[in-house]
Amino acid sequence: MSDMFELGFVRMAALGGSAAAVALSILGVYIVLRRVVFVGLTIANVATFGAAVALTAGLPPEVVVIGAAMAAALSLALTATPRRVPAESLVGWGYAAAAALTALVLARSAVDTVHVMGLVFGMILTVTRVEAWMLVAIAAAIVAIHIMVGQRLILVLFDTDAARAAGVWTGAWTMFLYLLVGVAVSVGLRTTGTLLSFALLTLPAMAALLLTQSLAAAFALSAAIGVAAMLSGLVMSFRWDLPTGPVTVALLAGAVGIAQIVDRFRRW
Amino acid sequence: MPAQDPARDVLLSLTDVSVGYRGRSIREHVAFQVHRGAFVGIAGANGAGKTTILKTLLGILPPLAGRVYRDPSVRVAYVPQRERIDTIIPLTALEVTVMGCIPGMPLFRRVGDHERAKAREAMRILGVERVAGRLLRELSGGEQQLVLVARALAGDPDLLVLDEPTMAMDLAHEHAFMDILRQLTRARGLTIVLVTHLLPMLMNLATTMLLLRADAIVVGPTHEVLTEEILATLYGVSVRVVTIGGQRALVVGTPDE
Repeated sequence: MSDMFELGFVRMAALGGSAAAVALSILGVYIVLRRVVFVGLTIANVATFGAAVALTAGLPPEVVVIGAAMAAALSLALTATPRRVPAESLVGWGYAAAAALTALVLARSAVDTVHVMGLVFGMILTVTRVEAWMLVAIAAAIVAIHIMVGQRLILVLFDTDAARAAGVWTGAWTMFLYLLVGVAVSVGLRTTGTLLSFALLTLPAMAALLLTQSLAAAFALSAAIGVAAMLSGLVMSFRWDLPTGPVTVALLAGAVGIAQIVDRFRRW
Repeated sequence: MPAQDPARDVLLSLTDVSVGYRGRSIREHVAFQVHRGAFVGIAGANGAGKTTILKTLLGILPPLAGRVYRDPSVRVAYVPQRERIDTIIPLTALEVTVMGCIPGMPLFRRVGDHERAKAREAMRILGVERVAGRLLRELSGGEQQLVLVARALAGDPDLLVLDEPTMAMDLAHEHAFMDILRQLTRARGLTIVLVTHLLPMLMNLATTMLLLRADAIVVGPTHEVLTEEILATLYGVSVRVVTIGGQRALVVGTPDE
């Protein structure tokens, strides 16, 4: 194992992947507790659509991907209050539309299948030094935001009406949370891909919330599970020549299964 | 002594307001004021629009028409119906209570010892300090409700708004809770708005009543609103208001019925 980490690109993959895991796993606890896990998937899908458009049209992908993810995050935050149809049905609409449009754009483009696979599953082994450190900066910012204003976000999640009555701008905080998800997903998209972004946003938080009864511990545990799965996925994929994203997702899914068993035994 | 300007004492008011959801009006021409130091009771049959009026008053729902005023300097604490709280979030009773302090804190300040001490004091007043370390979701309905009231008190509010706070309480807790509300109005000068089905509680605590009838909204001093005639019309049964041991009570039906 030590041999593989002597390779520069593997070290960058480990650094960038771990940073993405920390950022998404921490945000995931908020997203899971707000019961809007598909918001993350839809933002990731819209960002993927942005990437497909950028690849096809020869536009700068970073700008288009971040722009698409921000637009999706803002739209979902603005429709977070149910009106005539449930808010989650609009999330589903966004997911379906983005997935279909991505497929259509790629079908008409000259982009090769490697790039298409990269959009869905990520290309973690090709992460550059700049991308890796950018992910570290995003992760550090999200940890700092979590420490500084996490209590306010939880206040809004726990009892939105009481928070609003007390003068808290609940809509603005919801939008802020979704925008953070948009930033984390879009910056990490080339590294993690749609599937792993969604998995990191959902599964470590699920496992952590099953394993601990403390909210503070759940955030730390979620980040730890995310990083552990990411690094293990990297090592296993390198050893057995498998794609890193799906291996990591499988490990995370397994972690949730184990957490469920542990939770069931604890309750007996 | 100069006469006090009553307008300066208005903390919240609704002026010819229509309330409802998604453009559909539930009640129209709602008008009343909440004065500093008042204890306002809101009662009415199920579906009469009590919670909708409350949410409009608090700015949680926008009014469909009319004007809602809220004194910007007033600190408001709202205790919603217990079942509206999402207990999936693993928070202890103390963590929930301390949340009441957060809206009054500077943006980037985290909860510290000072806020935890205030939360513990609020829990002591409500008699739930012993469950401080337990998860909210593991508490009984009555305990959860008291923790939510403690959360509201922890933020040192000027105005406490409670929506059916005694729904999950047994008779003893209900009585104790009534005493706590009485002490809060007397000792702290707290202004309270209380929605409840418990008319005897309102008869003994409220200074002002908002009674939602199907055909009209009756607003006024409690003794003028909660009369035998009005209650009989509202609920369709004969009602007697009696005083026992200094407490007002309701007897439904007449002795010969």
